[in-house]
Amino acid sequence: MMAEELLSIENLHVSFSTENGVAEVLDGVNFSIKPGEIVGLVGESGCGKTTLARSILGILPKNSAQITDGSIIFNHQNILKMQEHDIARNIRGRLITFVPQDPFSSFNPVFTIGTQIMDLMKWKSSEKESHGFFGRARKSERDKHYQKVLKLLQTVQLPDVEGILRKYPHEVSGGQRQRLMIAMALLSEPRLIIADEPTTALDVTIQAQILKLLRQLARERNVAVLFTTHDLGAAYEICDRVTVMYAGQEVESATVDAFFGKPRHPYTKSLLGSLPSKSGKLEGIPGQIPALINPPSGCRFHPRCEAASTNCAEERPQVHWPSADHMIRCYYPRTYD
Amino acid sequence: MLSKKMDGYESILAIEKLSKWFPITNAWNRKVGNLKAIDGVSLTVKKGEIIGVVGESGCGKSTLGKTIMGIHHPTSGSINFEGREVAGLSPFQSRQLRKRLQYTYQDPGSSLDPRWKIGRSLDEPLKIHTSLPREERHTRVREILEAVNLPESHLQLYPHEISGGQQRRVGLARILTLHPSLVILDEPTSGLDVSVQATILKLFLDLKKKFDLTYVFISHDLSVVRMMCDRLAVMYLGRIVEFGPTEEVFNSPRHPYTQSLLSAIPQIGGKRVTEHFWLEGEPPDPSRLPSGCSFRTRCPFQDRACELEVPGLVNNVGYRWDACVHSQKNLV
Repeated sequence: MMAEELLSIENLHVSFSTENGVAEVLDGVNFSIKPGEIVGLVGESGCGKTTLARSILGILPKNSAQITDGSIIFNHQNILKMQEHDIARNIRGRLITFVPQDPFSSFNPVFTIGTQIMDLMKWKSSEKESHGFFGRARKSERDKHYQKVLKLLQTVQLPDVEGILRKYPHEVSGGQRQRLMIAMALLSEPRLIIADEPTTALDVTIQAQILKLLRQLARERNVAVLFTTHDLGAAYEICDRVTVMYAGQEVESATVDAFFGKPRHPYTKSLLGSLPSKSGKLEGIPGQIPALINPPSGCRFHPRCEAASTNCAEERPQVHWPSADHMIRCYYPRTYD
Repeated sequence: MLSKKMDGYESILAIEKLSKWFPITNAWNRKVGNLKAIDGVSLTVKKGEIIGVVGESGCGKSTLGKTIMGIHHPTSGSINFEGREVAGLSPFQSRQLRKRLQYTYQDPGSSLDPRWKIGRSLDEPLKIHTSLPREERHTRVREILEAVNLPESHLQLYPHEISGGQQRRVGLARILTLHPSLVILDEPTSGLDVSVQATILKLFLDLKKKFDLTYVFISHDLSVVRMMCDRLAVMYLGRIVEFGPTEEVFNSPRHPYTQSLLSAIPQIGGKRVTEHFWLEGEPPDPSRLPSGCSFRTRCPFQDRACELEVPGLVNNVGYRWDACVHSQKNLV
């Protein structure tokens, strides 16, 4: 089982020190991605999705965040034990790339898109190729890079690619900027793309286009995608497998069909029940998301859970596999006949 | 136009050919054109219904809400609210009207004064619009607070101390203290998690019953609109392209834009949108609209007829209107 995982996170604990005390943002998270798999990480705001994504990239804020326990194995190497400059040179931005949530603020507004992509291209190839005077790439190389960038922009289905490279970021629309972000994430031929809510800022018709593109490119290039979102519909669209988190703990992980068809964890069930439906029934979840400073003991969902009993507060349930590809952490899972 | 088939319902708001154009100026502050944020919109709202206004960002749905409310002065057209013409009133005149017509902002977190306690924010509208003594104002505030399910202790808190869902409740409580008859909800659930959204939507329905309200529900979230609204207006670049009873519009959309918009909503358990989504491209620049139908640049059915004139909203089937040359000939 272990050998075939591209990324496997075990028992990851991350805490943030704040003015009011230490917040345990990730509390023993287990998570894995196989090569070429699209995995959705869903949950409500504050559940730790972004923190998990950032721990993989090693870009947690240095002065407040601390990884207290656990391991992140990527490509048979524990990232947490690697030297920072090795991660920077070989992993972050190369084997693992990132598509941000907000395509509006992720470009530098004072340079053209072409300049920014060509800079990135030069940086990514800086190890392999020699450079001329002042580190400037030779003309032949620059032409080669330029052609490669043009080809890449065509694969993300942008119109008038040469024109776009001459534009400034504010001159292109949100959907096009997100396509550019995806192109930039594909530039270094990564094994894993971390897409952090890539469609939240977009309209629904543009969202459909971007999701379609992301899925298609990931399939063609056999790139694994970690797709964090709070939109269950978007997760249903493109993911192979979905993992749900609640207040820093993963509660359920299953293939898309099992997850949406036969959810077993009470939280998953309530979350799906909160979605607006045709029938007009609304079942919110009573109570509020707990604060992560002094969170509830045991399973963090127990104060809001309808199935909770005394042992839920005592100890966090162990991993339990109702079927080979369905993992839950609950003492009282829902059953199906 | 839309008011003809009313079936004896009492209309509370009737908009006729409403336009709001924003001037586009060049670097020397010379006017060089118009951005037609809303362009010839007609709409009638019946008393007691929830009318949905949907569309993508930049389609003018918020401008429509703000123009009805009097935050923007309309360029042309009329707004008739409870039998009175309200377009272009002076601030003093519109103040009396605002008791009955209220607007909730998209982001209540930033529309509440950060330096005022919730109690003071809730008291303010009553101070401005009524001459009630302090004691009665306090009872009214407490009543409303209970109606939106907030504990009384929240009166002593500042906006940043409460959660997003609670801020929405405060925003709602704030306008309900005046007992309005029509409330314009501008993106009332954007930025909320689904579990919170569900409780807020439930609250809207409860309050509607309790206070006998009519809602204009502006949203980009189609699944929420489907659940909440009786009738639906779909906007594209400043114009209504389709209008009708929500279920009918969802079941058999007539305008190609509505069709693509509806097919873009992920349906859990259904067919995947990403496998058969056909709409390409993005909306054109609203300051340089194409001639004729503004959707024609993205429309698969477009031909010469679409370029020639702007299709008007036409009543085709039953209580449904749409603005497409082809759907009117049943070609779509």
